[in-house]
Amino acid sequence: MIELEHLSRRFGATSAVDDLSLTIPRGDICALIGPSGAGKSTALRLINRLIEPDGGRVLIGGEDAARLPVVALRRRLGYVIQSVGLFPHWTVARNIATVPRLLGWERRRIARRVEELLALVGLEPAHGGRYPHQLSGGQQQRVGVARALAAEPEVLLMDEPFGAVDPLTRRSLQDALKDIQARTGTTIVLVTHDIDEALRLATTLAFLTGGRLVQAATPHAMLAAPASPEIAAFLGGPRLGLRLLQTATAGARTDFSRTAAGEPLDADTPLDEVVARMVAAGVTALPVRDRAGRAGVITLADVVAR
Amino acid sequence: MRPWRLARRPVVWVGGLFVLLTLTMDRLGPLFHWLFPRLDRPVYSRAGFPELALSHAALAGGASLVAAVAGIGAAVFATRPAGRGFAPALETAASIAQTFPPVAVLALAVPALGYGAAPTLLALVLYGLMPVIAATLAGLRAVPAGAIEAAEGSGFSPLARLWQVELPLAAPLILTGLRTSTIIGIGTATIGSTVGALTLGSPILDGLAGENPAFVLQGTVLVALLAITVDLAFAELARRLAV
Repeated sequence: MIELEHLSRRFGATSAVDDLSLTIPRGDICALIGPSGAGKSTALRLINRLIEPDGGRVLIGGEDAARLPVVALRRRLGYVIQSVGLFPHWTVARNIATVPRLLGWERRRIARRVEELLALVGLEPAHGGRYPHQLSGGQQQRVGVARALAAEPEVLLMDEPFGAVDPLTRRSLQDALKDIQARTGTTIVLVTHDIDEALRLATTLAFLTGGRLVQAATPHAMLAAPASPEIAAFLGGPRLGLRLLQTATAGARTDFSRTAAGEPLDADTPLDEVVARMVAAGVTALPVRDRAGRAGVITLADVVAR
Repeated sequence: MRPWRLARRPVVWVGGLFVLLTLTMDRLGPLFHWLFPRLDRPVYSRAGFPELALSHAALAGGASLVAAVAGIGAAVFATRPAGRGFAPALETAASIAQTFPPVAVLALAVPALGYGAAPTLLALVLYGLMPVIAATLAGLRAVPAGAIEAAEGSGFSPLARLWQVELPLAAPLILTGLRTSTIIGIGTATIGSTVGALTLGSPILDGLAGENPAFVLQGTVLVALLAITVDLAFAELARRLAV
């Protein structure tokens, strides 16, 4: 669990982060969103003390971060950045082993952990012996995530982690991250300016503007009731309703007492994709099947019902 | 590298030729007599060539070592948070040192340090600092910002970050600075003979003063071979660093 208590940080005359209080429960994925210059990255860097606060404090698992030795603190927090920042003179395996080596793990434990992590982020064991420049951008970012997770950090801090890769790769990295988080239960604090990424990954959205927290809520709650016109505009303005569709899946709106012919949709399909398929097929109802094998039908009326 | 593959490297050939010529120069009298038939003494004999070469190499090598340690140290300091304000002054001082002709440094150093090796060493060190400082600063500043931020965020201590991330990534550029510095040192050491240091410049200066082109040729060829050998050795090192 991370608690930010009345955090403030000024740069000269401007206030980058202003009286920010936010509690992020264990296992949560919290996305910090907001316009450029809202103080999202500064807030993230206040957590691992790459920037020191002028006021307020950060509690990590109840411990005051300011009282921990800064180097020890950072080894407990994974950090992933947009530029990845892999060490170009080290192999992938050596990069992943960065924090375990700093922590002085024994050699065999490190080797085992590197092998695990390569598999976890979806890379081949052979990738371990390559150098960063021999990998694609998406693969490099996977290595960046593996390096951040290496010493089983309590919290993963990510600063626009997938901002520099193409949309398709970004999507697969997001899926991989979601999968990893589900398996490890790591708390994640994510800075992103990509609202779709935030909706896809986060369990909590925290909207910042001018260094202040305006609203913190689940994606569905924020989309259903944005606290300010600025948030409503940021979430899509007139198209906000389409984003709302991303926050629910077909299964929740399906009538399982009926069936229909055709190839069934997966019940986990988000509603925006259901609408897209209806448009593509020119129909207003589609068959659905859930993981248990139950068959049902979803109609356009079910989708738009609130 | 296996010995037989090493034997194919140019550095071994040029270096071998340098050593061979140094050891056999005094027996090449007939050759130089044939080249310069009017000269009474066709081979320099006031000091043995092995002695001249050793002294020359020790002077240039020692000065380069001092310049390397001091130059890398100063540049590292100037890129730390504590020394950042020191960087502009350092760059200015280093380029000013480079504008002094080495002969002027020698002339100024003799009254303080006397004749011989000491003023030569001082001039060579001052002269060798600039390329090392410039290259080390450039190398450290060229380390990708992402790698630095990742190192900081991963919990490297400042010393570990310098040693494990910054210096290895700056190494190729630092090496080019050391290479330039050392080559300049080998060339410049020849003028140390004007203040009485024993170097391969001694036959050159005596030859110029006594109108003996054979002496000039002997000194020049050996200095050139030494410089090329060392340059090729640095090239080998750079090649291995790049792999």
